[in-house]
Amino acid sequence: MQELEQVSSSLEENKAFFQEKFKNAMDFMLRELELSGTKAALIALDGLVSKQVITLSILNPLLSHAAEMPGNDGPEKMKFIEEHVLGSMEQKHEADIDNLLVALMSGFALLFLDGCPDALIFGVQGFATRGPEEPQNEVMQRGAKDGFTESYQNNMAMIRRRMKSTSLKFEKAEAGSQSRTPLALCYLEGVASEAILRRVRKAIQNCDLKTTLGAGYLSAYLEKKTGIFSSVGLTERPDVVCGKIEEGRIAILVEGTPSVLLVPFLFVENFQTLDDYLTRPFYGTFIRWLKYLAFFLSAFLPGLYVAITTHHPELLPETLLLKIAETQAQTPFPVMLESLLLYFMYEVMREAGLRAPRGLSTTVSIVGGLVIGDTAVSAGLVSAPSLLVIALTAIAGYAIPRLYEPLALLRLAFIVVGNFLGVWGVMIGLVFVVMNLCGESEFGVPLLSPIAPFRGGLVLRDVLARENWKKLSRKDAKVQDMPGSREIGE
Amino acid sequence: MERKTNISSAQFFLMMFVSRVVVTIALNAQYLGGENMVDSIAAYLLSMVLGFFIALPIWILNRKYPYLNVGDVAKLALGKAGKLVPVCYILYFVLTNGASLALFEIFLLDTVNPDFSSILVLLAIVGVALYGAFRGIETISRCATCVFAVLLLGVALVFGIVLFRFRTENLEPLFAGGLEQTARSVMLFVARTSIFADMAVLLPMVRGKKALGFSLWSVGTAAFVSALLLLLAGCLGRYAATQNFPVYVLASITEVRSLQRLDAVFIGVWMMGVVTKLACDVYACRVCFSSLTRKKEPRWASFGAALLMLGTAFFAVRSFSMQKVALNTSILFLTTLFTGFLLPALVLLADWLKNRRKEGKDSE
Repeated sequence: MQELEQVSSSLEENKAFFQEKFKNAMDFMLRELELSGTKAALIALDGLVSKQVITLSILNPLLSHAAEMPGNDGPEKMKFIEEHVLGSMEQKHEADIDNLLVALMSGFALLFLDGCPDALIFGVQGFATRGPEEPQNEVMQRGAKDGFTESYQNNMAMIRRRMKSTSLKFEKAEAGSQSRTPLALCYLEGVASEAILRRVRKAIQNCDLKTTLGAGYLSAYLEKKTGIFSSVGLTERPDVVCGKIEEGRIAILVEGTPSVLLVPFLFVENFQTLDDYLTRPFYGTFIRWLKYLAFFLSAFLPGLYVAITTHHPELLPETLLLKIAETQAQTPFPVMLESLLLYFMYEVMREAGLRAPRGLSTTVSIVGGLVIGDTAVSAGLVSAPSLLVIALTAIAGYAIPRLYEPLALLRLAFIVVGNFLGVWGVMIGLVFVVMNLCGESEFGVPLLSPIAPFRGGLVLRDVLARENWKKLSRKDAKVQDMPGSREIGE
Repeated sequence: MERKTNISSAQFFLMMFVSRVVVTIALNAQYLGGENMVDSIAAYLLSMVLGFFIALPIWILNRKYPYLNVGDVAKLALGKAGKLVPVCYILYFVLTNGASLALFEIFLLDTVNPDFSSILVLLAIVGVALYGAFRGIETISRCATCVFAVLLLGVALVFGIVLFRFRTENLEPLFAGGLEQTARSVMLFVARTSIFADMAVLLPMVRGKKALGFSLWSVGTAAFVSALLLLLAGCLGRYAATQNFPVYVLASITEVRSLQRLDAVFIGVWMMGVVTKLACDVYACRVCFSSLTRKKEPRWASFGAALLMLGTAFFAVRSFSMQKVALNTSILFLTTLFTGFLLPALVLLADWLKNRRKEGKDSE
């Protein structure tokens, strides 16, 4: 078979090419037509297109106007069809075979006419998509209840509905040499930094993935260094994306995934939720502080518990110390081992709860949390204070779900360090974490900004406190203007 | 080699503040030159005034060559012989940080006596400092901002609590034993100040109001050390003079019902400062190596410098003869003056002579 790069003028050649390409593909559909003496073919893939739309909007008008079509010249007929017969919004000429193949596999129908060196493509997508539902991982008390879906076009519409501005741009791009997953770079023109935008485009262009099945695949290409904390954010909420692009960030919508990537993403943003901005400022500030406390509890509590009970019991009040010592005397394992054991048990139960069929997940939680936990304590395998610490740590982690992954590893590290080096080990570990945070600077914006480098105004505006909207709306806080940011080169 | 300016004056001097105040954990009668701590307050103020004069050649050089450190200027002015200057700075950083680490280990072994290896603690400190030095001056200075905040909170907590134990009758009259102790104290304070060498190497990377930063640094450290000495004298009285690490004793008397003793937290916070100081000086060694090799701050240099510091500390704790060198305050004083004043002054002179010679040739 002859490999084609451009559409051939011969319909037979075009047909043969597509039939060969889609050999053994039962979803391949080819409908042959004759339009006033000129042969034509309509090609589409079953399941990706709406047959009803094809019949009503393409085949019926074509056949009913067939007699009126001028002459025998293919291009002339194609022009007539385009101007007088079909009136689809999404239709264009395409001669490049590669683009035609991508369009076909994206739910477009292709119309070829004999003697015509290009094809007409129509957007007739008709695949089933999930309707917007409340995001599972970013539950809000007062925010909107609709979250992104797997269709990036629907997701674009969700953003557009909330941001009716001509500055809102959606740039098309593609990732994955095999999957050719379409994606859109969403930003506000004039607000987003051009330099950052260029970096994002370049990063996506240089992405050498064969298949892109989710937004997470691209994170590694957007981050130059891999630190403990990510400088690429993820959200399932269109309202969050709107808020972020207003501050100069760039959102990347990837087809097939309900999560949208956000760059650059600061560390403090992990603690910000839309609810903070929908409540009164003092309560928003209070919630913010609770989350900071939850972060410290989640990261350091198990490590400090192990360190203090093992090496610095003098730090505890006498009554508490005696109670812990009493329970420890009845358990067979040292505190570190006990904590690690409980922590692993908890992680296994969490994973099982997540992966188990929905009907079983409640059972898994009850068996795991109540039966195993309670039995382990009453059997004297683990002490109640250790169980309490690990449970508190786990719950605290859910107050900042975006940080769950780094926290899971930090906890583990601090338990080990706390056991070997006591409170000092935990402190040294804290410096290491801070150093790591301070060293990250993606897209020219320091990850820990505006804390380090420090800018008091910004810290008091939306980090340590959440100012009211009258003050927040007065000044822009573009991400590229954060302290320590620098213009990034090509 | 031109140095890119990449940290602000505030960041640099905040980092220097943290580096300076961590040294005060080792303050005791021996390191203060006498038992009257009130005299040492005056001594510290005097040492800060002296500091302005010591730093003068560095300021002049920095004004003339804002993008070059003293080692780089030395190479320009003295040619190959100028390479000795960065070597001197590397040796100085190894000595002072080795001494700091050694003091810290002595403190751990002598006072705290933990039930885990003190070498392990030192290794962890050096490891994290090395990581910081790898990441660069921006990382260290940003981290110093965070450590500064934690340090301030921790110290304010401890100071606030022990303030209730302050008794004015514990204070001894100023200059009661004459001026001899004050003079000794000035020398000892200067000996434990490594900012001059840090400025000589790192100042080209700093932008902003450096003179104001230095002045604020002097005032800030003076306020901190004065408050600490006053609390030591007022809360512990003559007992402070009998202790090897009176600052630790001060922290360990903070008896709060919920947290009976805060000394572990206090030491932990202090340790964070030690890491920052070490990271800064290891990075400074890296810069010195780059002056020697003309390569962009080689990473292996950090590793080598950290290893040397660790080695110095290890042997200083375990070998008496080594201790006599590494922890000798007279040697520290002389090396501080040599690297902070004499070397920059010599480089300045050499540069002036070179320029004069050049002008003479040009006029011929």
